[in-house]
Amino acid sequence: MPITDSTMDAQRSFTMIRQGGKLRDQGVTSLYRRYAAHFRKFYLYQGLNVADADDIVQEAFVNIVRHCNTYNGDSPLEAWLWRIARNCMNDHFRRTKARPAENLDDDGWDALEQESEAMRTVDAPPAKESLEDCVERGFAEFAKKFSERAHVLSLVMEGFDTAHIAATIQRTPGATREFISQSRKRIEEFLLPCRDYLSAA
Amino acid sequence: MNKDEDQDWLDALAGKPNAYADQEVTRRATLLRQAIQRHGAALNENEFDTEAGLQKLKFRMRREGLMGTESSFNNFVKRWAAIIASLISAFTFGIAVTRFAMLPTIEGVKSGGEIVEIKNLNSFAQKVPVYVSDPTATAQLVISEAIKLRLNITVSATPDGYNLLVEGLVSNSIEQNEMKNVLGISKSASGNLLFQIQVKAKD
Repeated sequence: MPITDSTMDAQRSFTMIRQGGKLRDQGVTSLYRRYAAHFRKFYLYQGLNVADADDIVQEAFVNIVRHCNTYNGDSPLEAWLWRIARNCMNDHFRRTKARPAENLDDDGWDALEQESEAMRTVDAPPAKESLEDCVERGFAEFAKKFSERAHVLSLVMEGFDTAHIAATIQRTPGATREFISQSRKRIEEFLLPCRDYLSAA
Repeated sequence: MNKDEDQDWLDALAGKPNAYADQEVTRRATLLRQAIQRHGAALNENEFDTEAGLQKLKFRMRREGLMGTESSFNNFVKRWAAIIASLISAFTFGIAVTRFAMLPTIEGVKSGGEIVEIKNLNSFAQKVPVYVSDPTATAQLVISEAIKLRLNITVSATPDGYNLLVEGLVSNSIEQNEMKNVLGISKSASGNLLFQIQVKAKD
């Protein structure tokens, strides 16, 4: 995916939004077509149902337009957009009390993940399960426990580069590389039940 | 897991396996890639209708006044431009009203009065009697033209008409041409203009 072109286009769309009038209409159209599906997928990975995810996508874009003049260029535009998208989701969780809304730093995330890991049990695979089904089930379990990591692996799978993923998860590129590497270790643990299939295949 | 292996795994996960990578690493990453694709498809079971979502968003933004409005900066500039334009208009209008207020009362004046004699003027600081059938209409015409050209004009009533003292600085050729066309008067070399017209009724 040509991330550089994508970013340039996002900048242009965002500038049009800031200019207002008819240009804003064009800018919103362009930015929405570029980001809405990604925001929605992120929300779905975080455990939201489709209706809520769609509503929060709308909310995120309204907030982007409403606060477009507060963006001062201190951070990459893409990171700013994702911050708004993430904040909208956190607001939703706060309102519905569906999940504690936390802006965790790396230590916070690690602590939460260790806690989840302690509670985790790796289920034995059902009888007559194919290797593909086993891996899919393993990933689904992983996504339930580590939604952020699962989303990041899906971004890697889609071919996004580190800079884009870093903007998405609000981390530095270095921290993002480490996060991806750690995610690989974690998902391998969830695929342990499939090892018999893997070695047999 | 070393860095090279990590990279090989990431490449295979991204669908670009390295031909020289460990085959087992590539195989596992490829299996995971397929699992993520299926998981994503299941998550996205109700396929996202981008255009419908976009229309919904625009409707909401219009309702909330976020669409079709100029940015606050543009609004700021336009608002101040309008205020400044209003002030200039009011100032100009005020000057014109003040000047007219100083005039003797002229009743029933119509524009287009006779001005034929005035066109013969071609000198500086002279006092020229002009005889017209309707001194009031002619005086009114001279006054309005002088105001258009931003010249000072002092009007006083006489028993048989009006005394018009016109003075000002003619600064550019457009004004000079207008002056010639309208009043038939040329400015002096210095650009200063001063003349007096005595508008009198014809016998």
